[in-house]
Amino acid sequence: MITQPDISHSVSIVSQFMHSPTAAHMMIVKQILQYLKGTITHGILMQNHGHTQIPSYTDIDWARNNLDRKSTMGYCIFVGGNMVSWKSKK
Amino acid sequence: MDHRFNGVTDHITNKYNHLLDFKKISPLSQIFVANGKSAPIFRQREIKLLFQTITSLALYVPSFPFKLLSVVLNELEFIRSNADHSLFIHIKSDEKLVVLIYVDDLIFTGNNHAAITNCKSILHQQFAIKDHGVLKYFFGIKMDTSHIGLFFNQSKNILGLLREDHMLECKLTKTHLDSILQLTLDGESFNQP
Repeated sequence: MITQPDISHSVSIVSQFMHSPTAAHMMIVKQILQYLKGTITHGILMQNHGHTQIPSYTDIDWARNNLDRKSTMGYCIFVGGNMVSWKSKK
Repeated sequence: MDHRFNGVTDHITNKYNHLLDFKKISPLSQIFVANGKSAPIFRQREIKLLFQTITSLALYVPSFPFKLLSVVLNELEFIRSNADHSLFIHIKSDEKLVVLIYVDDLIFTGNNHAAITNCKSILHQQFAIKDHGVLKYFFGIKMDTSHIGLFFNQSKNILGLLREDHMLECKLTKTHLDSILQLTLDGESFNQP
């Protein structure tokens, strides 16, 4: 979803199990869809904040995945106070 | 690019919207499949599927040759962006004008309304283009402009997803993921109903 960065982490999680999905994984997909329905009017607002600073924020959970001890990272980049790029990746 | 269909204005489908250039996929047909850099090469099945969509909905005309358009834009003192080759930028003192070419659509933006109108009228003389006014939908994203800013919303896509999964009547949740969730690989495997 290009206008709902909030679900990018959960989408990335369920996509890791796409090759052999279980019922539990499908429940999360269902929950994401339910969440999307509830936030259907949400989106991204681009505003003129009067500057062109490019701050970026990032975080990493340091090998929290107990299946393979890999990390999940995430970042988002703002240009002039508007979010333009984001990612959640294992 | 001489092969053209008549009375067609839209892109192929939402699913093929990353595509930039065109490729003839069958020697007999006059159908062009857009096949951009970021797009995967179509498998046979997908091509068939695409054919079905094209024949049933009849879409797709590249209404202007990209090369000619970029020449014309260069004459208007536009500079092609290095980051995105379909983006043209024109900066002259305090006048900024940006044109994005997407398949057979042009999107104009800038800080000078008169310059935009002028540029549009020049292009109008060279190409058969139609002005659709203020941008409302792009890539299926709804764009609302107001004095506050520009608002992007994808309710149309979300409704499509929900309809596809028969979840239009579903209950709502406040969260999309359990914060202490740890997923495992085992468990009852999911079978498509």
